Formats: sequence, structure tokens, C-alpha cells
Amino acid sequence: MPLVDKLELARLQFGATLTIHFLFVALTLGLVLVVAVAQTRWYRTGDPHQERMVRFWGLIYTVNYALGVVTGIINEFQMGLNWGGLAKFTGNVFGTALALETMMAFFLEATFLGMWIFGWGRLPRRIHLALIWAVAATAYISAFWIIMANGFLQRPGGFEVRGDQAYLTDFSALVTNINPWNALTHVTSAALTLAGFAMAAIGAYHLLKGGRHTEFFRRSVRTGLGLGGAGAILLLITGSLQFNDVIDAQPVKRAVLIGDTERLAEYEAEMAGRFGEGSYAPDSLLPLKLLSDTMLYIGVVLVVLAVIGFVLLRRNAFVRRRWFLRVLLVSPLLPVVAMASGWLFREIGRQPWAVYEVLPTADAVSPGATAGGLLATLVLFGVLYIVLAAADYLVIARIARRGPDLDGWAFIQGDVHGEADGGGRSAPAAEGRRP
Amino acid sequence: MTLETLWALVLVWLVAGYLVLDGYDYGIGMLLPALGRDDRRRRLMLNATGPFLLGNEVWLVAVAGVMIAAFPGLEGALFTAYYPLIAALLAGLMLRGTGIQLRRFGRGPGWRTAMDAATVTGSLVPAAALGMLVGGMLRGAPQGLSAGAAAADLLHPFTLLCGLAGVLLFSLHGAVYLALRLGGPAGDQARAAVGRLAPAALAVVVAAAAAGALSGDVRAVLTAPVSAAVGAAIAVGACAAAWALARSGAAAAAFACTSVAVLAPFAAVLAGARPHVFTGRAGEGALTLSDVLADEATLALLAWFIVPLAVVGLAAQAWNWWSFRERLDERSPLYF
Repeated sequence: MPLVDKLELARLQFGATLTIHFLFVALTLGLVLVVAVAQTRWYRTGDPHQERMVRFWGLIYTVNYALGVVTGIINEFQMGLNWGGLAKFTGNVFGTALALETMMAFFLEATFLGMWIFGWGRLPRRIHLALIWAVAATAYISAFWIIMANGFLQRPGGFEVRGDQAYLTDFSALVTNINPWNALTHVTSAALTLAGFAMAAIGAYHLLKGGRHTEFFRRSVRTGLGLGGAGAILLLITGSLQFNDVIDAQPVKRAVLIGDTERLAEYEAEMAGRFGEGSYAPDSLLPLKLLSDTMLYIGVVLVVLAVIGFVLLRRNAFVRRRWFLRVLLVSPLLPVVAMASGWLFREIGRQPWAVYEVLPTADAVSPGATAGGLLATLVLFGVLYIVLAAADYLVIARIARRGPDLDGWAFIQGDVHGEADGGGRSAPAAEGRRP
Repeated sequence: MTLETLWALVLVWLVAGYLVLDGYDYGIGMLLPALGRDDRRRRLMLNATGPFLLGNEVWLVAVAGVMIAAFPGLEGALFTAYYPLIAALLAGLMLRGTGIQLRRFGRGPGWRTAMDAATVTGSLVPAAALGMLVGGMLRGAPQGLSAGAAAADLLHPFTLLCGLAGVLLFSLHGAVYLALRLGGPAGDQARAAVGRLAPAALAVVVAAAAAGALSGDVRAVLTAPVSAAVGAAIAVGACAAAWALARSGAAAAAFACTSVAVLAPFAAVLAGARPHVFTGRAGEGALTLSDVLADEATLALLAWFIVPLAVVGLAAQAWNWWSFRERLDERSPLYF
């Protein structure tokens, strides 16, 4: 499959940018809940541990979110840039979901998050707390609409084709489509799993290293393990629910998942009968079965890890078991790889359709896009994504290594006269040292 | 009011919000080398936009979202024709976002230098790209060229001149914003920069307008050249007014003027080429709003959501601006 082909370049660019973007987003989806819950507890009890949780995980969340935005801006534009055919054909439906995502969710999320970041010590504590919950809510509304949009591609409904365009005929069908609801619950579970194991990993790092703040990190591992473990089990449940629907609506994926090559050939023949000659099996650089197997096996490993973790939570038995802490250290890689594999399976499994059984992907590419332009942007964005993602993870690793007192990287840094740690109305009196 | 008009107003509103708000962010980024003589000063400049940065940027995302839902044909035509400019704009935004957000988490001055380079580049490129977009739209989009040739066509002197105008206008807008937000010596320095940028911006806009008037390509695109000329004149007048107001200390009024100044070129294109929202070279392949409009039924439904959400969104942002209206000075707490 030649890479200079327009279609392949466009697909590669989309797949790569979306996957990397999603990995950032998934961590923010999970962490925002951690931060919001911790801030609620802090607000209610004034517990200094909870305050440390908010500042430490909140800073990691903020830095990660920034790169989520940076890697996400392109995607809104990729539709117009590279997928003009899709935009023209489904603008009425797919575009509707995207427009709702930007205006109902992301617009507000960005505004409220800016206020939350800078509002430490400036805004009343109640407002500051409300803001992080507003950010969490709009983040999930955002995920909802994006997945609704994707769900339309996977299992289109509520539309009719007139001429060369799809027209929305039933808005409720767009939002009651079972496909994206299953996907949303599954993605949410994955986000919680990732956040949980990321917390556990960072906590495990400090427990292995020793030093200050063992109490803080021991409790972080507990929270992370609990969250990650619960997420893993939810993944299993939501994944099964999704499987039931997918095998119904997209028999190709089912055939691949269970390795039924006969059914796959049958299905191809059936499609050829309905839509004319051509190839109707998904093709890609990565074999579909490898992707689904990777995701499923990792899912199993995560559940096993969860069970072991739950056992070792009793009486903090995990603290002394260094082998387990080392496992936790690398555990976030599991959900990362699984999520990437899962999404790639979902999307590649949809091929050769952009809109399932309605619009082939080959027709979805912008007619005006050129192989040269696509290659240039692929290289440009590809390099940028890799470099910027690396910089972001470098910074997160640095923050993680410093621990909750952040050694001068306080959330809000004070004036030249001293490091006032956001003292004032948002911090308990003991912490604030505003000159 | 027809649906077409309503959605046109929504799009214009979002584009205007984007240019005025993220515009001054580009200005601040471009001014870092000139006005940010030390680390503390640079931090002050970046924190001047602080809580608003994410909220400003999101208007562009809203523009893209509404375009694909309401004017999918326009998005396709514009983005295909000006592909390199859009790509450059996006790349710039990526660099800027990273540079500003990660700036303070380094281990030494080398990191900060790299991040600041990213911020400056990531501010300069979008400002230039937006200017060049105006220039490119005035000249008309070349038809039937290869990717390389189309990109080369964008490097036409007139388009580049418009790019320069964009850089200067957004820099001026950023400087006025800093004069408004920063107290003490930082604010004074920003005000001084306005004094140098305003005449430069003014001069380049006049030059671009003159070049446009002489250009056959531009004349072929403009159906109402007088409107375009008025738009250019408004930009020039707004720069002059901002200059005078900044000098006399009326920073808020100056900001209103520079906001008009960054909007005027786009208004000039829109008004000057009406009713076309997209025109090819020599006036070919022109599209009107009705050509690119999405289905009426969808738009009627969507309007019930988007219009109230636009109001709510504005209210949320206004709350943000009001909450952090206090000027920054040498003693202010900082996040960036």
C-alpha cells in the first residue's frame, strides 16, 4: 500500500494525530475527577493532605491539559483540510455534533479552566471548587459529543441521503445511537483506569525511592490503585456490552475478533453485491487482529493487576512489596497501549467506510487535497507532535519527581518578595504567607 | 431574519471574537523579545493574558466547528485554497501553547530560551498567516495549480505585504493590551511600544491598500471596491486613534480602537467581495453564502442550541475578564 497515495496519507495523519491527542485527553478525563474530588474533600474538611493532592495532581493535570489542547486544535481543522468529502457529505449530521461539542463543552471548559488555574487565592473557595467541577462536567460533555460524532460514522442513523449529501432527519436518533453510548462508557472506564495507574505509578516511584512525603504517596498509591482497579473492572463490563452491539452492526469486526476468516469472506462478497466490485475488508499497516488481541489481553492483565492490588491494599501490604511497586511503575503503559489499540481497532475496523455502508473513505478525502500537501503536513505535524509530547511528558516527570511541596514550583508563584503559595482566600490560613 | 443571515452573524461573531481576543495573544508573544528584557518581565507579559489564554484560543475552534456544521462548502473551499496558511497557523498555535505553558518548568535558562523561541515563532506565524489570508482572499484563490505552485503563489509580494500588516496590527493590539493590563514600568514600556508600532502598522496598511488598488487580481475579486477601501481607511484611522489614545493614557479606549483595526481588514474583504464569501483568481469559481450553506432543517434545529450557547459562552468569558480585571504589577502572583 503506497504511502504517497492521498488516501493513505490522509488516513495516516488523522490516525496519528487523533491517537496522540486522545492519549493526552484520556489522562485529563481521569485526573480531573481526582482533582475535583480531592478539592471537594479539602473544601469540606480542610485536610492538608487533600490540599496537597489538589495542588500536586492539579498541576500535573494542568500541564497535561495544555498539551491536550495543543494536539487537539488540528483535529477540528483536519475535517476541512483533508476530509472535505466527508465534511460536504455529512456536514449536516457529523458537523452538527462537532459544532455542539465546541460550543456546549470545549468553549466553556477552556474558560472555566483558565479561571481555576489563576483563581487560586483570588476567587472565593466555593467558586474555585465549582469551577473545577464545571471543567470536569464540560470535559465529559465534550467526550460525549465527539463520540456521538464518531458513533454516527460507525452506525449511522437518523438521516437520509438526498443527492450528494446526508440530511439529518431525526436528531434524537443521533444521540440515542447505542454505539456511541457503549463507546463513551468504555472510554470513560479507560480514562479512569489510566489516571488511576498513573497516580499509582508516580506514588510507587516515590515509595521505591524513599525520602520525604512517603505518607502522601502511600495514600496516592491507594487512591490510584483503587481507581485504576475499579476502572479495569468497568472496562471489562463496558467492553462486553460494546462487543454485543458491535458484532450486530459491524460483522466485519466480529469476524476479526473471533478469527472467523470464512465469515469475513462471506461479508466481503455480500458487500460487493450491494455496493459493486471492490475491497470491503479493512486494510491497514497494522493487522486488525493484532490490535484487538492487544487490547483484550491487556484488559485481562489490568483486571489481574486490579485483583492483586485490592488484596495488597489491605493493611498497606503493597508498601513493602517492592516487586509490586516496580510493576506499578510501568503499569500506565498498559492502558496507554490498550487505548491506542482499541481506538485503532475501532477506526480501522470501520474501513473502507468513512460512514459505515454509506460513504467510502476514498470519497471522504478532500478532492482538492494533494499528496504533496498531505505529506508536508504529515511530516510537519508529526514532528511537532512527537517533540511537543516529549516535552510535556518530560515536564510531568519533573513535577512528579519533585513531590507535593513542588520545591518552588508552587501552583501560583508569588511576588519577588517571597513564594506566597497562593495565600489568601483559597488556602487555609496556615499555608498562606501573602506579604 | 433568514437562517442564512442568522448563521452568517454567528460565524462573523465567532471570527470577530477570535481575532480580537487571540489576536492580542499573538501580539504579546511577538513582543516578548522587545518588551521582555528579563525573565520576570516576560512572565508578567504572559500572565497578563494568563486566565484568558485558553478561553481566547477556543474561539478559533468554535469557528471551525460552526463552519463545518453551517458552511461546510466554505470550509472546504477556503482550507483547500489556503492550505499552507491554515497549516502554518495550526503549527504556530501548537508551538505557542507549548512555549507558554511549559516555560517555567525547566531546569535552566536554556529551556526558557527554547520555550520563548517557540512562543515567539508560534505568535509570529499565525499573525503573518492571518494577514496573508486576507491578502490571498483579496487576490483570489489560484485554481488548478499543483500543491507546490499554489504555495508559491501565496508568496506573492502583495500577499506578503498583507502578512506584514497582520504582524504589525496584531503586535500593536498586543502592546495596547499590555499597556492596559500592566502597571508600573512594564506598562510604560508597552505604551512606548504603541508609539512605535502604530505608525508602522498604519503605514503598511496604507501601502497594502495602495498595492491592492493597483493590482489587477484584487480588482477582479472585489465587487464593491469602495467598501474595501473604506475598510482599509477604518483600519488606518483606528491605528491613528489608538496611537493618540495610548499616548494620553486612555488604554481601554485604545484597545477598542486596535480591536477595530484587526477586524477591519477582514471586514474589508467581506464587504468588498460581497456577496461572495470565496473567490477564485480573476473572479472565477466564486461562492456565495447560499452556495455553501448546510441544510435548512438542520440549521434551524441547531440554531436553538448554538445561539443560546454563544450567549452563555460570552457571559462565562465576561465573568472571567471581570474576575481578573485587576492590573498586574511587579508584585502579582503568577502561574505562567
